[in-house]
Amino acid sequence: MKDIEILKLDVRGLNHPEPLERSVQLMKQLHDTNCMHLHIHRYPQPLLMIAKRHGFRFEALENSKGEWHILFTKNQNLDLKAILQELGDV
Amino acid sequence: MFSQGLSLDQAPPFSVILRFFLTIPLFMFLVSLAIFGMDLHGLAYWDSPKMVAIVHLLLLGVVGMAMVGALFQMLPVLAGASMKEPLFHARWIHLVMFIGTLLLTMAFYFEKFELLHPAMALLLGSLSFIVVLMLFKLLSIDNKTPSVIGMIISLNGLGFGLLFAVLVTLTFMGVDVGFLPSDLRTIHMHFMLFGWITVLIMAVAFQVIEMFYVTPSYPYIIRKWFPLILLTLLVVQFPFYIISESMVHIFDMLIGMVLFTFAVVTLRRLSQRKRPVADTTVWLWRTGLFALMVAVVLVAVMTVVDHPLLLDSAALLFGYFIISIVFAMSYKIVPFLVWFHLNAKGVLECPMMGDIIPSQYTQWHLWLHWLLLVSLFGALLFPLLWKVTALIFLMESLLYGRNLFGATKIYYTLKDKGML
Repeated sequence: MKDIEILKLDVRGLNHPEPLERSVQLMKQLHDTNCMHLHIHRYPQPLLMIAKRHGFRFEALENSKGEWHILFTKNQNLDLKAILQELGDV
Repeated sequence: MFSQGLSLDQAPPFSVILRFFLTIPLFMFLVSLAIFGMDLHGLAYWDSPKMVAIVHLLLLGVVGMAMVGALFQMLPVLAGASMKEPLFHARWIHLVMFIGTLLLTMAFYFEKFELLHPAMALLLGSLSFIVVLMLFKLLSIDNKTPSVIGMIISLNGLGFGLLFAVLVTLTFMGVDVGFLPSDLRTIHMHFMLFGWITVLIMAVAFQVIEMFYVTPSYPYIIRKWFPLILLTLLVVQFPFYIISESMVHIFDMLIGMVLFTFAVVTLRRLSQRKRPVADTTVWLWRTGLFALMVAVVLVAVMTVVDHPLLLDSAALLFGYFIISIVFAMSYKIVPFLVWFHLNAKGVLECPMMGDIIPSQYTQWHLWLHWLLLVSLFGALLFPLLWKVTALIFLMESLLYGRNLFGATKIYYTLKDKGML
């Protein structure tokens, strides 16, 4: 995890379609040495569909408030579940 | 809790939904022409053949197309129920519904009642197929969310509505089925308007109000029970048309209370948005829900004061509620689907969602839609104003068509420029 840059994006409470548009914009900056940590107020199924089509790996975790922490990456070896747990607040 | 891997390959092709939505402005245009071509006095009678034609043109051609299109989108995406060959089914169902609606309308409008037989066969065939196919898919889902349950109940409402459409037709042909023809018509209408359309609007609202406008969820009791209560009231009510008229009125009141509560709770949700930016769609929801509330109040007043204007006003307001929600939904869904499908194809030039249908055009539509409401009430008092109403609705159809076809053009211009 040390060598991996984490791009954070908090879109909680933003009106549709801002969370989707901002996420897709940031996704364009992803490559093998970074990942995107999205904090969002609901499970963004359309975004995950787009991410899957583009070949991103992702892992999603819901916290006790019903908010979602989602990690996206192009790196095939990252343990996304472990990183999500490490990020805390989840 | 880690997500359990919802299926992410469920989105149906855009053209599946698009064909239904793009037909709506065409039918709106035909509704306007039908009103233009009508004798003004005929508009005062709901049972006159031309009025029956216009009502079906509006409810099958405009609202029905929107509802079936929405079902095709919701079934796989919201409910997670995949349909084999959605494009094939969408194509033939759309075509058959389209021809069936035109024939049914022509049968009544031009009093060529021999057209009723092919019209009924086409409409019953396509709509019954939808009921059976979609119910089969939805009932096999393990995780039945309130929206899924709402869709199941709404399809049952459509099934009842179709059954009573057959009974109305049999009565029309001289067969005695035990109910008064006017009662059968009312029961058919109630199942279609409340059991199918309103329940489906509820099921959609439970998902999209919270999702699109970032509001608190609907209370669980409403999400879980309201669609079922509404359909149950309709099912329990219809035998009382033979047994007790006063009981029928009591059920009408209970149905009104469910509708009124749904409207109040949804308006409350819209006022609790985290970022209260009121775009056109919020105002369309508000306008529609307000019309629904006033319609319910007018029906309640009818129990004390019996005046034909009250029923006419309530009926028009209910229709206005449905149309407003159709506009609100399509102005959110169509740009979203254009954006979603272009991004899924990796189109770099994909515009922002807000630029797919310019807000200026939707605002003009909103103003026209408000003007329509004013002209509807004017026409009730001064029948000559029906021509003005028709003109406004015609302008709405053109503007709405421009907005939807503009979004479609963006999609088809860019869809082959994707990297995927």
